[in-house]
Amino acid sequence: MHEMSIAMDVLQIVSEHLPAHPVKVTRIRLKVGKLTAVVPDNFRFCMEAIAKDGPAEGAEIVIEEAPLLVECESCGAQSELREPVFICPNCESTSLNVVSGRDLFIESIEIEDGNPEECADGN
Amino acid sequence: MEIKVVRKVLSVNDAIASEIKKALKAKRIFMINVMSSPGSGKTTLLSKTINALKKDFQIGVVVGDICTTRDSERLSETGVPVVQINTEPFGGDCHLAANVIQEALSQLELSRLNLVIIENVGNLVCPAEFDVGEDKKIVMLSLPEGDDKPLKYPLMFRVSNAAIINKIDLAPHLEIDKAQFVKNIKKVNPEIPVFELSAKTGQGMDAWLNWLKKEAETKISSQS
Repeated sequence: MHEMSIAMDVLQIVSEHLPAHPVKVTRIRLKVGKLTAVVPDNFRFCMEAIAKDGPAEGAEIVIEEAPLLVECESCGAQSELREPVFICPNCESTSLNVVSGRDLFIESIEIEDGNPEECADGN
Repeated sequence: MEIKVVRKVLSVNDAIASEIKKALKAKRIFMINVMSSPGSGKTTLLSKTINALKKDFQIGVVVGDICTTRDSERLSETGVPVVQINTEPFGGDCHLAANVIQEALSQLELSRLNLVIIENVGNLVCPAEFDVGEDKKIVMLSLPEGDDKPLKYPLMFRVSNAAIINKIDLAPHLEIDKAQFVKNIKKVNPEIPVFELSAKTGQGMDAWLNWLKKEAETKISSQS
């Protein structure tokens, strides 16, 4: 369950991006590639557990799954792989570079500010 | 209000891994990270490997084990320095992260070493996600585990630089097609070298040891 370590890192990064005054985090958006060992449900469970009693308690965790995209060194074609078989669907070469699918990013966080003036033009 | 972050989640781990890599490069130390499922024979493979190579290399070992010191006791019998990491007394972390490795390396007398072997926690999932500054990642499977493992744990086999299929001496007792193991590993990682061996009987060990020696010597003798 390395999702717990990952959840702790996420929470750490989130807290670094919060303003100094108290706020509530309502949403955390993440991008998780297909070729990562992160199970979204496990990750959500861990986040809920460790965010308790902090600013991110109850925040919605939105996970966008990024497909596994590869580029072929032989024919140059970019393709999406739907299973972990690294053969170019176009020319059957095995020299493929992973373009995306290893991502594990926090894209953004949404906060509800206690101060109404400050969030008037937000959401 | 939305705050744009766009930050890699494992950036802290990766930064420490790069520090380790840099430090080991300056000291000309070759480091491997050996990963496998529990019970595939890592400790046996490593003690045989250490015994075969200790006359040619100055070896240090880092062992990750969730809650016992059994593996490090077995590896200490080889006579090389061993640092044991217990992740948690009641079954803690499932992998070794870079900060843990950095701490463990500080307990080894690195100036006297040129080959460091990490025995990771037995697990085919989590360790794949954490770089620890190693030169090569080695994944090991044993024959009785079944040939579908590379397809079930593709990240592990994709990120590894060499694969070992252990316990080939059991082949006559199993209804298993060894060729299918290799085929499935190559589906996920076509370029990876695969060593079929039995750490117990010694069959096939030479090819693995020669590969390791060659890789280690290349790094150790390189100009940094």
